[in-house]
Amino acid sequence: MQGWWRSNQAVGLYILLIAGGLFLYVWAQPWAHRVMRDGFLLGLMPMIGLGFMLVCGLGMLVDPLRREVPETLREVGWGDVWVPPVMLLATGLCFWAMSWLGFVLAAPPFLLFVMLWFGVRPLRLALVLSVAVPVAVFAFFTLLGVRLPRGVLAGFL
Amino acid sequence: MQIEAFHDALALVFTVETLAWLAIGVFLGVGLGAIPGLTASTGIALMLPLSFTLEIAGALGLLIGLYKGAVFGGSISAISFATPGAPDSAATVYDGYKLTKQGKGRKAILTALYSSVTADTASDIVVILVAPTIALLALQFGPTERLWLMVVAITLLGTLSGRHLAKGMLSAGIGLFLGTIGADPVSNVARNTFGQDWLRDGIHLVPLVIGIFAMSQMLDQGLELLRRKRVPERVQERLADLFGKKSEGLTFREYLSCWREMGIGIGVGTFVGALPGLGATVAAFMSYGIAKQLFPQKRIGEGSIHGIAAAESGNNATVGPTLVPLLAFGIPGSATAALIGAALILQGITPSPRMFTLHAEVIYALFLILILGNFFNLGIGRAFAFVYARLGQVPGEVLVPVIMLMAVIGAFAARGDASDVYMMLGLGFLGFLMRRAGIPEAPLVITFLIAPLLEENLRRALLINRGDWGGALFGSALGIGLAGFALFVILLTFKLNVGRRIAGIGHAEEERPKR
Repeated sequence: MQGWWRSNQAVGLYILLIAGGLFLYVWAQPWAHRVMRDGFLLGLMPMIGLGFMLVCGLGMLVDPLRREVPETLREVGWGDVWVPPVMLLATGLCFWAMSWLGFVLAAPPFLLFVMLWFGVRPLRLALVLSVAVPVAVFAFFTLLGVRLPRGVLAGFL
Repeated sequence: MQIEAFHDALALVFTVETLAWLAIGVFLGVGLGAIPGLTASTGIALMLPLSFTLEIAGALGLLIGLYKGAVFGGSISAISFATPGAPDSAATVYDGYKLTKQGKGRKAILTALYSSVTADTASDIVVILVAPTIALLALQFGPTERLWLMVVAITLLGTLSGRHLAKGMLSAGIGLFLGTIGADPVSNVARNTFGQDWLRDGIHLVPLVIGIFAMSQMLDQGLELLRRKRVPERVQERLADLFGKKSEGLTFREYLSCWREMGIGIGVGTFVGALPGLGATVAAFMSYGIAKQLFPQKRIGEGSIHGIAAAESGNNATVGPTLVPLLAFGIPGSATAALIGAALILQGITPSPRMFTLHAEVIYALFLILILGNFFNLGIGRAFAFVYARLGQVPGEVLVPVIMLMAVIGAFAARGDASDVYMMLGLGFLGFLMRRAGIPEAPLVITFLIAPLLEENLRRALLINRGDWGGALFGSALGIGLAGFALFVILLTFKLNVGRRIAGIGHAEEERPKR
């Protein structure tokens, strides 16, 4: 799948839109125009950062590499749209479950799900690893004095 | 030399705990480097939260050991499977893999180890001699000069980090913007929080580095795993060669015969490592390319230990010098230096030239750890390199979810704050999008770290000049010179496509030899 939307020029346009929107948002905030005691504008640094992004986005629209499609965007397909968010969602859910189930109970289902999704077979291997890894990690961090969430097992661990 | 501080440093470093963490760091680092797809930055980002549960010397031992080990470790999979553990070791593939196919894999790995350790030690000595002198010079700088020095560093990073100037600078812009979220560094007034109270303290460094370096990479690799199944090609027979007792080792005479290539690697690596933005990959390819041009009779590229020595000494010689800008100016010159700087900040020590007077014992401890790390690298590399070659076989299907879990633990363990984990996940997605668009991550992290210092120095310069912007920005000849240099770098990069040429060093070499 080739197309203009993968080119550096398109990436520049996306950047321009995002940075432009952020710039307008910051500009509209009262704190951005607040002058501090030393005479410094509170919003100056964020606006410099966004200004930098806008200039770079503009640069990508017109520079000599504008028609080039980055190697990493050449093979982009629908998987790139849904796989990373699902991976992040699964990780987020695992962490959310940790707060009440504890690390030792919340981590195995997450590991099992992702390992099976990625293709770890046989199932027995995935099951063993998804239980053994969290137990080992928990033991290691406990030895180091790092307290991981214990959840409902707080009384036992 | 401050003798008392040196004694304190000896007491800090020569404890069972520090030496054990140094050994653990190297052990983990070599293993991490040997696994294709995992880099030193990923490892250090994941270990950062653990480091601040340790004493300062132990933390430095863990992180520097990990860094040194990982840079060497990359060569193991490059030699064994023609798959570099990290881009730094890509130049090692040409000769290393050919030697493995000839049944001389053991010789190749030993050459990589000895040349890595030799170059690393030599460049560390240069750092120890040079850094204090530069720091002494940097102490004379006022806020205006410091401000422009940071601008120069950001410019160099942005322009040299990749082949596309606009993308490098864009990454720096994102870092600057993210660095301004939360209370401003001088008046402590909240800004840029998008109305969220939990952003009042700003984005914490640990979720940022774990998200940008570790989580984004795992998202990338997870996607890659689902896209195609990797088939380990004839791994068993090649590994059998590495483990076989009959396999040819490296003689002392052969090691000495590589002295010219190691010399080139030390020179190139030390220089490139000290410059912000270039890094070990460029050093390895430059050193390899120079050696190949200078000594055609050594048949570099056709399975020669001299090619391995040039590439490996080039990349390992950057390890120490990459800390020079951090120690001398308080400005990290690479992603790894930024992470080591972050570890120092989390330990309550701000990297700056004043560190040499305020925390001299920490500086000496760091120097000792740099040198000691090489001995540990030699010992652990010698004992376990052939075992680590097996690590390249650990399937990504298992590694990716485990590292994702470690990223969650790392982000949470730092402050015990749930919002850090969600922030890490969000930043991981940002890092993934940047990777996809070919935007380098290192300028983002480094500018994020520099942003408060940049503002502090600008505001200090303005105060000194009573609000006069002209005086604050161009009040000194050195300031004008540095500003001019930054502008010159941008113009030169744009005109000559410097980033593209540097990025092309590796590609040009990759196209030449046929495996």
